[in-house]
Amino acid sequence: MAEIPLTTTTAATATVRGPIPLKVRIVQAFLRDNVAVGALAILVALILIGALAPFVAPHDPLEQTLVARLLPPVWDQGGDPNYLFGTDHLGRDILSRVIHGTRVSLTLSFIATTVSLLIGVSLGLISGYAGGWTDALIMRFADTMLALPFYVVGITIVAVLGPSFTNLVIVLTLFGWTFYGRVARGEVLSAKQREYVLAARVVGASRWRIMFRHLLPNIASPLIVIWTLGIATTILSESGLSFLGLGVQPPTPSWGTMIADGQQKISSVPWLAIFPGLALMITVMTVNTVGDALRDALDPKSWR
Amino acid sequence: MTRYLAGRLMQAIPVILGVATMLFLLLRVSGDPAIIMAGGQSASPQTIAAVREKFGLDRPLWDQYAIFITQLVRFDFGESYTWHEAALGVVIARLPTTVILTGSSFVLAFVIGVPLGLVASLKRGSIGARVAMLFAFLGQSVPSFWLGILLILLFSVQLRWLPSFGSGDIRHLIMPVVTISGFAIARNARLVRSGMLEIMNEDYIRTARGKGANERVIVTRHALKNMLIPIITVSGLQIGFLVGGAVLAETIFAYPGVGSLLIQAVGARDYPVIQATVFITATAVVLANILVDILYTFVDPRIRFG
Repeated sequence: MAEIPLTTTTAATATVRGPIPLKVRIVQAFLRDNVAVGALAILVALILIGALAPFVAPHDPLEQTLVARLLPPVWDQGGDPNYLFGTDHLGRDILSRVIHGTRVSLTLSFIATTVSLLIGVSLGLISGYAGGWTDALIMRFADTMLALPFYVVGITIVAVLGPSFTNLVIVLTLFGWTFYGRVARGEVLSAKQREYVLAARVVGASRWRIMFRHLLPNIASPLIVIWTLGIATTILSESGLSFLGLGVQPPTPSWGTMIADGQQKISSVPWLAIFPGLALMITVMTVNTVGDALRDALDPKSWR
Repeated sequence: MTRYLAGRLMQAIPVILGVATMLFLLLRVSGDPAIIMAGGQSASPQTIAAVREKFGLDRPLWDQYAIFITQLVRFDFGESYTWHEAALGVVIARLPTTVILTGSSFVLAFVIGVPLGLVASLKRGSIGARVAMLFAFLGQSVPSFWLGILLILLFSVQLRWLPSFGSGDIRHLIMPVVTISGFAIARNARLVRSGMLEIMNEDYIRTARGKGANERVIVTRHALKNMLIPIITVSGLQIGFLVGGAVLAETIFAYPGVGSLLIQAVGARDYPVIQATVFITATAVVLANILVDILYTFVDPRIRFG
């Protein structure tokens, strides 16, 4: 008699409290971090600004107003309220160009980092799971890319292939995939011996099924973190190439190119280089902060 | 020791071969290599024919590859179209300035990064620790080339303390070195901080405290030594990164090194020089990595050669 109420109580508590699902705990851990939430808000704003650039920007970024060349920012002597951040040597609105630069920078780095992730994870999974010659070949390739100075080889490749959006993605991917490849491989090597993989093999799952259905979900969290931080690094790499004149080609407004233009006139009109650089730094900072917070949130040790 | 070194050098061969293969393929996917190597469409038919002859570009691909590798092994990259001398010599002449630049940046990343990380981890919550972490955070997010330009604006244009271009004395080195090492300083500081926070909870630190060792001895003798191992690993990988940074810094500060040479050569489509630069810097970076590996054994006696 006494047993029946007992079981109902346990069942009741189970439905009320229950184990908190993993995803909810991760989101909770992330939301508890105020800095992270702030950074995420800024990042969303930046993405919106990039996506809606033509509507947000007060001017056409390519529109040259020759009567309004090299205007200082509005708070300086001689500033024009029509051009908040001033104008460049062709009379183009700097604020509008910075806004459009957001779009170029974010799109390019998002695509390049994601392609790197996909290629890196695939090669890493294959490398770790297959072992032997396949593994040796892929890992030597990764070593080669890791040892090479990005700007030296990147410049050469872009210079030979010609600077274009696609070639930039190719160069950034060629260097970017190694990080994901090595992490994926390492995680696979340790996960390969786990029971769930052995079990999958026993029931006759194919190699590909084991790799992509069983192993991949278990190594996802470190990869997501590296992907986020990778976007920040890619933004910096891309702007560096553009700065050298080998990235996004003019007249498309890009932060790197704008800073390079600004360097020529740094002693007389410093704002040309300062504003795009600030935009670049704030974007990278925001992405880095979100990435760091994500790493903490995905770490079960940080859950309270 | 000799055996270990030999083994390590053997491992470097496939990497260097990989670089060579990439250079080889790169030329061939981008059009007629004879025209590219002769300096573009503007080259005279005689020059193009001479290049085609020299590199055997009318032969099958495998033969071309064999010729290419043989010439690389002999360090024969052909003659520069801009300087009219052996491309190898042009690069070698510029190498010391870049080695000084990246070497100083490597040292600075250590000398500033490690103490910053120590302050951030040992005096947690203090103002010093906060400032250190702020520096580390900024250093990781600020684009190096932009930092370089801001330095010029402050120290050359406003204060007139430092020259904004050229090379010569130590005053020419300061701004480029800071520009290159900013990111590496930040990374080292973060690594030291997270490593120290972990190590200070280890059993052997508690043991050292238990037997009454003072805090300074614990940090320097027990914790720091173990901390240095991951830092050295990352520093090895950082060499390539620093050399890449040198390309940007040399361009900003018109510093006559290998990096600015590469940019010039790319602009002039001087293929022999481009090839020589990429091959020599890549080889140098790989060798520097091996050097770092040897450093390991001095820090960690548990790692033995063999």
